[in-house]
Amino acid sequence: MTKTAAAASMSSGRDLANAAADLAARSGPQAAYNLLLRGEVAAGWRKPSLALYDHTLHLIGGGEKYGCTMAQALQDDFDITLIAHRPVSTADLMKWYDLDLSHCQVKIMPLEFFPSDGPINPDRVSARTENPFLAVSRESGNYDFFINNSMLEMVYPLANVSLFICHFPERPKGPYFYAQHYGHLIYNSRYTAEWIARKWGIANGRHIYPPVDMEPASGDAPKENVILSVARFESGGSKQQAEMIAAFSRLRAMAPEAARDWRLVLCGGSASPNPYLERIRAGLAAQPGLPVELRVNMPLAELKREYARASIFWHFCGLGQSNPANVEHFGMSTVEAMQNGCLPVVFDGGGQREIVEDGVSGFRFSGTRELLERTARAIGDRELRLRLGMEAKRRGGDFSRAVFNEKVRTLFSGLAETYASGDPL
Amino acid sequence: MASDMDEKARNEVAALKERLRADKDAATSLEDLAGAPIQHHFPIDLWSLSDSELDNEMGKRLSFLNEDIDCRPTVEIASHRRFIGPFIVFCKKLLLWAMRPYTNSLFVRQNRFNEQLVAFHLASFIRFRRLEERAKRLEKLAGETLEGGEDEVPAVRHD
Repeated sequence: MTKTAAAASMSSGRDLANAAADLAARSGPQAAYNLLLRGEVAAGWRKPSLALYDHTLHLIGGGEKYGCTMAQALQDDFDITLIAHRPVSTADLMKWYDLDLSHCQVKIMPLEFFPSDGPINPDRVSARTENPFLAVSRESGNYDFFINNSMLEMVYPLANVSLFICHFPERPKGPYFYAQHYGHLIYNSRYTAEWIARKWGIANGRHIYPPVDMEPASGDAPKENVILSVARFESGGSKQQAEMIAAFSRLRAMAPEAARDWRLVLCGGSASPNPYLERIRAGLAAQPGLPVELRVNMPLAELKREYARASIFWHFCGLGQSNPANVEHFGMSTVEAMQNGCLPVVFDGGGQREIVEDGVSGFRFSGTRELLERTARAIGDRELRLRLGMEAKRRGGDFSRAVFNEKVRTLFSGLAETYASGDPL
Repeated sequence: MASDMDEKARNEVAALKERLRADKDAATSLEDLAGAPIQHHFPIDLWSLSDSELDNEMGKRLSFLNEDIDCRPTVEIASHRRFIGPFIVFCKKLLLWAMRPYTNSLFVRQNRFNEQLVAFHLASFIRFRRLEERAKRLEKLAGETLEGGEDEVPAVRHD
C-alpha cells in the first residue's frame, strides 16, 4: 500500500473504496481487502488485528509458551486471536504458562485431514495430497498481522504484515513450502538461524531468545549436593538420561570421596507408555545403591524446589548426535537452572553455546571424559561452584520474560507505526 | 457533520469489505487470492538431508510406491457429447472389454513386478536400518574405549 492510498483512507472512505475496487480488479480480492484493513487502521478507526497461529497450541510446549508470551506482551496494542486446531481455551493457556491472556480470544479451526484422535503431523502432507493448511492461509488474510508460531512452512501468509517464528527448520524445503513469503522471520537462537539459512536459504531474520521465568520467588535457597537434569523423557532417548546415569556411575568411580554424598535427580515429562523410561527404571532397579532419583511429570512447584536446591545442572542433548535437529536448539531448562544459581555443565553444541559462557557462567563439554573432569572439579571445589553459580544467575537474567517482552514490544510497535503511517512495509 | 461523513465512510468500507470477503471465500486457489503465480513445491535435494530426514523421505517414497502398485487404469469412461455421448461411452466400454484378455495379462505382470519391487525396497530398508544401528553401537563402544574404559555400570540401551 502506498502512502497516497493511506492518505486517501483518512480523507475519504469513498476514495478508499474506489482504490480497493480498482485493486480488486487488478490484483484480486485479497489485495483489495488488505488495502481496506490498512486504511481502517491508518484512519484510527480501530486497533490492528493480529492472529497468532500454532497447530499444537492445545499441547504444552516451549514453542507454544513463546507464542503465548508474545500474545500477552501485545494484547493491549492489538486485537489478538489465537488460532488452534484442537480445543483449548485462554484459561488453559493462562494456567499452563502463568500468563495473563484475558484480552485475547481463541479461534478453533478443525482440520479434517488429520484424524481427531491422532497428532497433527505435517509430515503426512506431500505433493500428492491436498494442503490441509490452506484453510489457515485463507484465515490469515482476515487480519492485519499474522504470526505463524508453528514453524509450519505450509501456511501461505495473506495478511498485510506476516511473521514466521522458527524454533528449528524441521522439514526440508519441499512440498507446499511458503516460508519465504513471510515479511519477517524471527528465530529463537543463532543456531536455528544458521540452519534456516542452510536448509531453506533464508538469511535475513530477527533474533529473539525465548522467555524464561524460573527465578526463585523468595531469595536463594540453600544448595544441596544434587546434580539435576530437567528434560523430557523422549521415547527415542534424545535427551540422553540413560547416558547421564552411566556417566554419574563413572563419576562416582572416578572421584569416590568427593562424589560420595552427591545425588543425580532426573526430572522430566513423559508420555505414557514410554518404553525408554521403563528401560531406565529397570536399569536403576538393577543398581539399588546408585543414588539416582526419577521425577516424572512433577508439578511446577516441585520442579521449582528441585531447581532451588540443586548445585549442578547437567544437559547432554546433542552429545554424539549427527542430526542437527537432535542438538538443543536453545535450551530453556539450562536457563531455568542458571536463574536458580545452578552451575550448568552442558554439551558444547547448538543453542547451549549461546547461553553458557564456558568457564565464566558454567562449563561446556564435548565428550564424556570432559564432562566427568569438569563435574569432578565442581563437586570438589565449593568456592568454584558458588562463584560460577552466581555468574550463571547473572547470565540467566539475560533471558528473562521482561527482556523478551521488551524486544517483542519494540519490534511490534515499529511495525504497527509503519503500518498505520502508510509507508512501505 | 464531520462525524456523519466519517460514519458514512465507515459504512462504505464495511460494505465493500463484506463483498470482498465473499469474493475471497469464492476464490478457489491461493493464486486467485494472492493475485500472482505461486510456486508450491520445491524439488527436495536428497544430498542435503540429514539421516533422519532421509529416513523420513525413504519411508514416504516407499509408501507412495506401495500406493501405486496397482497400475490398472482408473479413468472413468465418459463423453461430453449430449446426444451421441451414451453411444460413445458404450463403444469405449465394449472396446475395453474386448481388449481385456490381452491387457489384463500385461497389468497382472506389471503389478506383480511392482509388488516385488516394493517388497525388495522394504527389505533393503530394514536391512540398512539394522546395519546402521549396529554401526552406531560399535561407534559408541569405540568412543567409550577411547574415553578411557567402559562404564562400570552398563548404560541403559534405547535402541
